[in-house]
Formats: sequence, C-alpha cells, structure tokens
Amino acid sequence: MASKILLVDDEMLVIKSLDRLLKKAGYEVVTVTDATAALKEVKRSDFDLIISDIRMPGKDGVNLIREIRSLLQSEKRQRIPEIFMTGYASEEVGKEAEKLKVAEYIYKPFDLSQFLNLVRKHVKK
Amino acid sequence: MKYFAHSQREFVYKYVVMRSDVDQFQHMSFANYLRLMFLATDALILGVHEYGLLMNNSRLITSKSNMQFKSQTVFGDNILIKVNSSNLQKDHFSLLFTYIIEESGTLVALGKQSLYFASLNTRTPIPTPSEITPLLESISVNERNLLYRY
Repeated sequence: MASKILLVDDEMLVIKSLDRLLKKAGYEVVTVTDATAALKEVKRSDFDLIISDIRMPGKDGVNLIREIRSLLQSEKRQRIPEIFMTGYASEEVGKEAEKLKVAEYIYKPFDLSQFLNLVRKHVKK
Repeated sequence: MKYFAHSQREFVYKYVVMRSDVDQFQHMSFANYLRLMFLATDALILGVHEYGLLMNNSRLITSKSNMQFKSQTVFGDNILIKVNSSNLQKDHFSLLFTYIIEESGTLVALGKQSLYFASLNTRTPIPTPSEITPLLESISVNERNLLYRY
C-alpha cells in the first residue's frame, strides 16, 4: 500500500504541482487548502507525512502542526513527520517553526527533485 | 546538528508599493509589475562592480519578457522579488522572477526575461561578460524542475 501524504497549502498552483509530482512518485496524496480541513483529515485517517505551508489565511501552519500533535497525542496515535514550506517567513515565525523541530523546512520556490529527496528521506513509497 | 531551512540561492529585490503605483481601488497597476522586473534586473546586474565600465562598450538587451499575474498588491505592501537565472548560454541567459508579499507570503506574480549583451556600436550579440557569469551561476536553477512554471 502506498504511503499517504497530507498536503496543505492555500496556493492552488503549489497544490496542483506537488500533487502531480507526489502521485507520479507513487504516493497517495490528500490535498486541502486550509488548516481546518487539514485537522479534519487527520482526525479521520492516518498519514505518513504532512507537508504544510506556514502562512495561510486563518490558522497558520505553525498552529496547525501544534494542534495536530496535540490531537495525535490525546488519541495515543503515532507522531507524523512534518515538512514546512514557505515563500517568506519573518524571523519570529521562523523561530516558532524552528522550535517545533519539524522534519524539514523549505523555502519556495524550490527544485522539485530536491523536494522529492526530502520527502523520500522521511517516508517510503 | 544545527537545524536549518533548505533554500535555493537567489537574489532578492524588495519594493514597497507606493501611492503613485496604485489605481483608485488602491491596487498596483499591472504595468508596474513589469517595471519591477526591470528594476530587479538592474539591481542584480548593478551588483557587479564593473557594470558601469561594461556599459561603455555593451548594452543589456531584453529579447523577451513575460509575466503571469496571480494576486493583487495594495499600497504599503512589501513585495519581495526573488530572482534566479536559468538557461545560461555563452551569449544569452534567462532570469526568473518570483514575486511574493512579505507580510503574507502570498504569490503575486511570476515573470521571465530572456536577455543578452550586445555591442554598443554594432548591436550584435556578444558573449556574456565574464564579470557577470559568476553572478548568474550563483543563482542558477534548472527551470524545468521548479515548483512554478515561468
């Protein structure tokens, strides 16, 4: 069975591009455009990796990851590796993201093969 | 091990949207995004010390420009223009522009310019000056393998 990845970004261009890339690489991908929808997905199914934008309207990626971790802990489920993406992050947001010690942190725009290598580092097909 | 963010090397030009840039709805007019592409190119090339001397004998020609507009900016927005180079050839190259609003990280526009240096006298293409090449190489990317299509 293919590993399942949750992709969270409010930018449709990014969603489309990464969804195509990850599916082509053999992963099962669930895409959502905001943190609320992402939390719903995590509540109802298991994922092997979460890839999230940091800056999104409403709840940002940092708070989303905090809530997901808290949810997984309360339900005694295994922690999921996370990859953060951002176009730009202020020093403050960057520090917040760093404190969370997510698996990877990548700035947009990026090279897709580099991105895929980061994904493969944390989740097998 | 120190934690770090992965980032490709790029030149970043910052521009604050001014009142003279916006229309009656406070949105920056489209022509300004094109103008910013040229400003960013100049800022990049001017980073080379000998640029002034180079310009005595040659000129930089933009053979093609295109832009995809993605979202609006308004007065006061800080726009970050990330510049990368691609398709580096002996006598021509391309620059790729990613416009992002600093405050929100929103993608504003994607732009591309094809450029070459030409002789000031004959206007024929000349090899890219050796002073410029290392600068372009330092921000070079494989365009076909990028997150966005420019």
